[in-house]
Amino acid sequence: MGEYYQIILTSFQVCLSSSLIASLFAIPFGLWLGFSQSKLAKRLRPLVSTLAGLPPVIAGVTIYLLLSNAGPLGSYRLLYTKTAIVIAQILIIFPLVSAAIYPLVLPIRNIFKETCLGLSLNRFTQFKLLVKELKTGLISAYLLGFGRAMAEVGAVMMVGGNIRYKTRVMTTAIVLETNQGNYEMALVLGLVLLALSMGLNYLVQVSLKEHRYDPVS
Amino acid sequence: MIQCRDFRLSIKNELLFTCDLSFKKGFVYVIKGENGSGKTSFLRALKGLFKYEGQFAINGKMIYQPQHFHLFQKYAKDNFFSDMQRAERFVRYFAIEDLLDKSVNVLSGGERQKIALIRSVIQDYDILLLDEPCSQMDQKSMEMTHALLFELAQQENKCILLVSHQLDASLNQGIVLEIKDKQLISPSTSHSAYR
Repeated sequence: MGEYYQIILTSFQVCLSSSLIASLFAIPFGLWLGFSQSKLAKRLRPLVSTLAGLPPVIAGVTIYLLLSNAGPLGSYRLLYTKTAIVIAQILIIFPLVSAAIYPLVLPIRNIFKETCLGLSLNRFTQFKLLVKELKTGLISAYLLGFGRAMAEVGAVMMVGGNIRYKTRVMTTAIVLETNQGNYEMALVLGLVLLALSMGLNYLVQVSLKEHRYDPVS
Repeated sequence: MIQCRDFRLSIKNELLFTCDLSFKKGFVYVIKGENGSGKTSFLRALKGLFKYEGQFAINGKMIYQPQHFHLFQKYAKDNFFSDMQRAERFVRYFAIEDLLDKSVNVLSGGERQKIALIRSVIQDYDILLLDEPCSQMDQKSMEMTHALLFELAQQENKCILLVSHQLDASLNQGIVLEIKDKQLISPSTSHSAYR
């Protein structure tokens, strides 16, 4: 029983950390991507959307090469630690969350901007209003990132090593236990993961329904 | 308040109109012209949202309400964040207390315009630019809006520029300017607004 809890706890630890850290940067970046009319933003939007579909194993390989003994960050001895998992998940989640956010801004950008400029609102107030405006959408984007982190196997296995009581999370444990024929443990963890995924998905759908924007006629 | 000198407005190198007028506090100026003559572009240029040539000087703070505006989510009252107390006066004036707790997504066009107008007039400003503020209001609301604007101009010493297709009798107190022959022209220069 203890091992089950350890695996679930580790999963939550790494996924909460990676999703919160990634979203801390991805949310303002996604808002800027949608709000800005600069050439840079225009060029970055399709790039970010493409990176959102990045095969996670690429993120795993990249982080592995960086953190391995021969890599530039090898001296930090982060490979096969929870930190390495968090870093790999951040790489996966950041473009995903950003790509989920900027399309929320685009439909209202021009009219929102003109209204704010007309009212002579400063940038901070504009930002605050925009966040409030898109609150539900931002939460959905975060939940999307968190759910993605929870479901990740390949990259986590590569950089985490699936070490018992240290870096073993639900997804990697399911793979291992299934391969070893320990179907009971795999099934229990699978049900927990399924319940979490469905719950998160439900939350995302409910919050997306609330985030309904009707443009001015 | 606003002094335009050799002010020229163009779109894609085509001249829309020129303007050499001044706009003073205490008056409501109504700008009329055909579709595409540059009325909206003029207001946007004054607010710095549209390119122009020539020069104009502005003395005071300017608020601009575009024709197509955004109401901040989620409820109507959330748009009065800058001065709820002052907003209550105008909410009572239009008798729209029942709208305050409604979602902005369910308001009618006229209701949205009332909320947007109140949001504009509660700001701290000396000059108010309004682009078709009453286009979706009923006759009574339109007359109330015009009466309110004249009251604000005269009693609070504001300069108000208004673009409107609906030259109702309730705008008779205002100074009607027209875009004619690519020029924004004023009525008789003997009007006190131009002395």
